[in-house]
Amino acid sequence: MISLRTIFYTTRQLLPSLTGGVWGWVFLSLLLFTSCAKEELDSQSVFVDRATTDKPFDKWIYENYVMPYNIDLKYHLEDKETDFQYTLVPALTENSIKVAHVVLYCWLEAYDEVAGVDFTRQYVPKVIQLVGSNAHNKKGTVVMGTAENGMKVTLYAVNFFKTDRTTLNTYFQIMHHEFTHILTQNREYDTEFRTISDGDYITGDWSNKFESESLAAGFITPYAMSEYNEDFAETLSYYLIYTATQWKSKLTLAGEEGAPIITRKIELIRKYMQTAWGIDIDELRDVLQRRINDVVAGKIDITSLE
Amino acid sequence: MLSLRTIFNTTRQQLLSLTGGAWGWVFFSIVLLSCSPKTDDVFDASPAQRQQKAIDDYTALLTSQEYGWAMDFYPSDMALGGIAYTTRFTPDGVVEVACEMLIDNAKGDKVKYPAAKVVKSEYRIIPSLGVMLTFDTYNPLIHYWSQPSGTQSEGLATDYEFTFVSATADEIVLRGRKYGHLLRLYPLKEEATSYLNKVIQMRAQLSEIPRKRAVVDGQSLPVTVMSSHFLYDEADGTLKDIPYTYTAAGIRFYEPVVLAGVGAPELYFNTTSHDLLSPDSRMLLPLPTPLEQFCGTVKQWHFIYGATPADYDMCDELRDIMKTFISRTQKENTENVDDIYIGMNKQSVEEDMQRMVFGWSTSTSMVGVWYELRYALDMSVVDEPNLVINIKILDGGIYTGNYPQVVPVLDFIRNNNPYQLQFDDIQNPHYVRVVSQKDSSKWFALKL
Repeated sequence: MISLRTIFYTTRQLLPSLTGGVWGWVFLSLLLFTSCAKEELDSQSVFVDRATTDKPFDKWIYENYVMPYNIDLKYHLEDKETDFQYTLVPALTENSIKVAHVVLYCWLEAYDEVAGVDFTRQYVPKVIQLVGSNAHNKKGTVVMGTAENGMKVTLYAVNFFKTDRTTLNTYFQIMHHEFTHILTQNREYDTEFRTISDGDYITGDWSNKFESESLAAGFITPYAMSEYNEDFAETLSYYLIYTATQWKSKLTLAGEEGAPIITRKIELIRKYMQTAWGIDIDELRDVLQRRINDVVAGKIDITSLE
Repeated sequence: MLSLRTIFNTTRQQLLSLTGGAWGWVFFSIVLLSCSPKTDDVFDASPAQRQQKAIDDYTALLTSQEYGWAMDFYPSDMALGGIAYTTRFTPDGVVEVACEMLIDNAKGDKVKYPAAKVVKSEYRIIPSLGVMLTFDTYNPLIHYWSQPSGTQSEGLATDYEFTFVSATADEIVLRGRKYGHLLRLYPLKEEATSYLNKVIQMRAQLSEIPRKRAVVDGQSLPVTVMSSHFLYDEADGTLKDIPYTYTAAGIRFYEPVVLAGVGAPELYFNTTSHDLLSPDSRMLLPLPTPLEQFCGTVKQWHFIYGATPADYDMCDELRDIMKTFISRTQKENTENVDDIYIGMNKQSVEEDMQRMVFGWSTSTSMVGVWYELRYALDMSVVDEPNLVINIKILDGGIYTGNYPQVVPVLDFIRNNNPYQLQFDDIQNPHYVRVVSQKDSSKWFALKL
């Protein structure tokens, strides 16, 4: 059997005689630098433009979401855009149209009105995924909406969408909650907020609490008890979806101990929104409430794609 | 401990001696560089271009049929067998879907979609681990099977996203992304509604009379064809269960049935002879004889009993056994025995795959509370001309643990096999006397 060493030695003896001095170098250079053929690059991109359909709803989304806000509103269910732990079904297109109208009118345009369209354009999530069903997990609890890193909001239960106050409050509480996270991630709030209920946050145990317990402890909802960032987002989002009367009644339920804590929190939030973003939360609440009332009263056409 | 420098120097010395000075290094360079990075392309186009071409081809194929496609859809765990759907795909991304069954309350909204009603939604063909067909806007007929709820977080465990497996003008095969069931599409030659109405008729006609026997190249083999399932014993004795879908022409299997080495992807219904026949005519499922029809009945044949001894239409020995069973159930279970029967399971196939049972129904004093108890049962023909059958009741009943008093009834039936049947009208029976061939004094009557 010929060993590797034998081959190398044989080659070593042959090469000098074969190439002989300078000419050998030339020969070798030619071998080295010309042995690889130049490959032409393909003129076509590997990213193939896919044909798009021009359905009226797609056109409407382009004109009302993409162009003004650069938001990709997805009403087709894309598994890669959803959480694989859930079994989901797609949204009914006619309900997606309604939700698209309501989100535009009650959320995007409300911020336009209060803070200006540039503010909305810059900070709203860039993907909104609509899902037909609720997200049921095996524990029997239901998720109505989720957000990821300020970039995407997923709204579930679109197939059950109604323009009653309860449904709209559910949707917009989620939207305001997630949007609050985006704002506080961009401009920090006063660390004093963290100290108000310091020691009372209970992380995962919040789901065992009733609303009456959380209110008495100075939290607007049980979920607010999970940690201070969630507390901040919950407090502001509920402040915005509640009418002034509803907010007062919650404070009454919170009692002598709970109410001052919640009030202290909302005052810090009010200050933050004004100084960091130039937004008066009472003005914002009035605008949101007016717009939601318009939808509930049927004053807004939420089916048209004109 | 060896330092990095030591290792480097050692390696360099070894290489120099191996390759022989400067020329050795040059040679070594040739060895290293002589392999060109250029490789011959196996395909003419880039992966993205080929994938796009596949999408274009599948789209063209799916939208090519004027009437659309017959779609054999196997939801959930296939307990229901296949459901006949139709789909018509348009180039603008709309799909028209219809189904042979009524879809009720798809998303808890109490809306009913009658059989063969066409419902539109959207579809897309997109790249996703291959090329995927997805019904990605809501269609109650499709997503009925996937709708999650508080009690069923995965719905009925059925796909609405499918990966293409193969596609020709005659058959498109796809596989469910999550649960893996195959979805097959066949070109329609008529309007979807017309096709589905024929399917509905075919189901009504065939499901009424289960088949118990196949004839393959002249050889008779026992099979059970009922409730959208084709059951038979394979050569090694294992039970093979192949679900099927009703078509306008007969039944089409989820996978080919192979009996005595003869395969059949589907069976056609002969409207004259009422036989089911494979495309190559080698496999035949004849219209069951009246005796076979009784053995594979889709109805319940009821024992006849009542408040007085005269109400019992059975021999005295079984009457006493029955009376004890009924009175002990009243006393020990505080339940009335409302019905005792042999035949088709009253529970749906989704609740219980076992279709033939010895069963009884009881009720309690509480309104709306009743129980269905049963033992699996098999009836087989022993002597066709003399109308003799065997009744085999299997052990291990369903929810029967609290009813040990039923065992003497089962033993009576088991111990007096085989039985001769005496029908009131053999072509259209409503009453039958079941008489033990071993001892004609042991008998009972059944009625529809």
